[in-house]
Amino acid sequence: MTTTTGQTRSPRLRAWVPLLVVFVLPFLLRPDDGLAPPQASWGDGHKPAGAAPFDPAPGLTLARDRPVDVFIGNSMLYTRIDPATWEREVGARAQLLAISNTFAPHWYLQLKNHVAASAHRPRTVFVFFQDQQLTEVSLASPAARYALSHEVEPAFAALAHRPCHSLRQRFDATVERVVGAALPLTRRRGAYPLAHVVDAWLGPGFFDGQEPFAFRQQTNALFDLANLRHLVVPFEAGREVAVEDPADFDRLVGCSLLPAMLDVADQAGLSLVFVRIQNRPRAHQPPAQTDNLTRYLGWLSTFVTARGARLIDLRGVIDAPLSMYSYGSHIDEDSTAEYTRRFAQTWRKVF
Amino acid sequence: MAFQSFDFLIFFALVWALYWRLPRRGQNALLLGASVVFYGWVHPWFVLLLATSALTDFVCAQRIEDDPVHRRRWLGLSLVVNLGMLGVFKYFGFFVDNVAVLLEAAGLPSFTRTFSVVLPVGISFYTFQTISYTVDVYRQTLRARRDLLDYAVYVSFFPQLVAGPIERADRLLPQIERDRRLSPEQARDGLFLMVWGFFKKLVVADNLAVTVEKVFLLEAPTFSILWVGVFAFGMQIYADFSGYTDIARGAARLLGIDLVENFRHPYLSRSPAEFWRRWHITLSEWFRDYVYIPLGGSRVGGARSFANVIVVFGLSGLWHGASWNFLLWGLYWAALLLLHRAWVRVVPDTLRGGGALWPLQVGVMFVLAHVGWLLFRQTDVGMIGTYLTLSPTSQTPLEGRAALYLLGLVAVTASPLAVDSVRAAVDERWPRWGSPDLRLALHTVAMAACLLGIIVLAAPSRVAFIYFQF
Repeated sequence: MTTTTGQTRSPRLRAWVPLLVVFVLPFLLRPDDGLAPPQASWGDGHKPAGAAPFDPAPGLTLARDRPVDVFIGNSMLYTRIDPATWEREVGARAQLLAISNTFAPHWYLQLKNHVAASAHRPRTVFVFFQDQQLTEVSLASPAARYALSHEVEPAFAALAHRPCHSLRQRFDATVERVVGAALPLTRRRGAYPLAHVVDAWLGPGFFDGQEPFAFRQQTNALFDLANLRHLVVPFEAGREVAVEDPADFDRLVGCSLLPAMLDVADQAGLSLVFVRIQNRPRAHQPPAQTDNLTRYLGWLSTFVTARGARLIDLRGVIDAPLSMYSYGSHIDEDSTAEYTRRFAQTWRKVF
Repeated sequence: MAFQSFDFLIFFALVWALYWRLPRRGQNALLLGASVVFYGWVHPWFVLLLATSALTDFVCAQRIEDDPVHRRRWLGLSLVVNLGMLGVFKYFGFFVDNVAVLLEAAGLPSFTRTFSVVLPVGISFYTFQTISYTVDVYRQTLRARRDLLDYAVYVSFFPQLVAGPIERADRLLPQIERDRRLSPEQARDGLFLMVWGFFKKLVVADNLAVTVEKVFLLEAPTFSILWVGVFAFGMQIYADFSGYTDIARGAARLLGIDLVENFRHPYLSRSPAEFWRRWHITLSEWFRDYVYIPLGGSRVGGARSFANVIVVFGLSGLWHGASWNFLLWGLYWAALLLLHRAWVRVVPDTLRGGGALWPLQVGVMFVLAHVGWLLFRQTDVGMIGTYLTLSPTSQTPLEGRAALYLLGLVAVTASPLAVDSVRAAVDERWPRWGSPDLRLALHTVAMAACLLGIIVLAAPSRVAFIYFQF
């Protein structure tokens, strides 16, 4: 936009009033906290003002339905496990605590605030994860983390005081926290997807009786990985794992919520099973992974086993061909039941 | 350092706070120091290249002035150093790869390149800027500078260092050499320009980048999905590059320096020549003044004039990147320009509709520019061939509706650009509409909306500025 020019009788007024309007307004606007996804930085350990309230519903459901097996994870879990099929295959009632885009800190909170806090004790708690996610804290989804938390989380606060994060990460987290506190409106970031504007603009007629979300899913499927040119270097899991020796691994674990998860399970008498899912395979072989990741998974298995939990790595173990996969490492909706059946078989075989 | 990072905002606030407390020499020393930090933020060794280019031209320009007998040699040295740097860092890999392909095609023993050269960000911009300085001194339209500090600030001025505008010495250097003041209105305009630039980058360009990336990765896109992707890219690259320029101009204005305009609503153009008077204006003018006119321009007439256009646009294409698709893109624009020249010569103005058909002319140019963007975006020349043979009719109903939906998404995301262009068209037609106070009030409301938009609508993932790769 061009600059505004013109005759000026009071240049200072003409400069300052617009500047005040533009730059003060965002600080004054406050979002409706009931709708806003809370934004907070990793590591502060505190529930920010305006965070969504603690939702005790999943814990109450556990007490009511008394599942034998509980599964915790994200979309990698709910596209893989169908509770009804699991019950048919294993003869044990199952319940999924799965929310998209959640990671280890969120799973820790589910374990602590829903499973361990429930009056009902399930037989087994499965935690589905990918690669190094169990020790990766920066992937935490703040919204989901705080939605499960009703008070200051001691485990988070303890981590915040360990030298786990680089100066750069601490600086970024501080800046993000300051901006979030000064501009409450940032909590509405992502709350207005432009797609919703298009949905309203096109009107229900365009979708031909379909839900816009379902239509968008179909559109997304056109851009499925299988339809993309593979010009880029083939995906190799673990490129970002900088774990060269056991000392690196110990440091990584010390900076994660994994020990806290194991403590919670131990204190609550829960049998914890970590399930490392198989990423999207190549045509007729298991997915590639770095030597670093292979070593890391070995140390991870030793660590959790020593603490009374179990770990199963499905890479190359489960019979799940490429045709069962949809986007990325997600299992196709039509294959979820079949995958559950195969996982049950693998589970029986391994343990 | 990227403009769209908090690092930059904190860095700029610190520089600005200190800057206005210093005398002019102190300001220039601060600008030089800040520019070094800004440029060396990720790769400190980049600063060495910048210093090499700057010092070479500082010395060469003085020698051209002081040693008239050997002035051509000094000019030659400047060109060799600057173009040599460009050649090594930008074109070496391209050259080696193509030699290997040629050897293989000729049945001779070939090789595979086992290394790659990192392209220092902004090298194409600052080498052109320093070349223009030396050439202007050689042409005696500018006197060589003796003050290294002022000159170094001209070459390295951080707001425009990595992606222009490519400033001419006779415009920028005098501003660096004199005392600067900042009026409240300048501060307001500078901040508003930055807000608008950030909005274009973070909300428009980065949100469109998601669609563009996906469409151009499709193995077999349909005709309609491909062209929606091309349309999205046309909007993305404009929002991205002009957004960068606005942030640069706004930041410079807050430092009391006026940078030249680089974009003038290019999608309102009615002819190829007009497009290049509105798009990346400083690059077009650079090629015009330092390549096209020295080659004889249009004065030479006939085939030579045609050849000049082809050479200039071919070079302009290659300036954008060391890849055949960029050369193709440049030649495509040369063809458009030449065809338009012939059209103007053959068809009388009355038959061309005069001014009455401008919406049609704008529409045709919009389409032609986007055909060019297809060549620009797809670096795989084989894929370009595939794209150009797609049939508009071969698609499933779902693919047709998906394309329509994506078109809606792109149109909604890019709509602020359209609003701005309509405003510009109104301003061009009725420059004195409304009172200054009304216009200022509307501008203020628009900027407030932009800032709120940045806060709630900015794309979740940050995308590097497209022109950083050039």
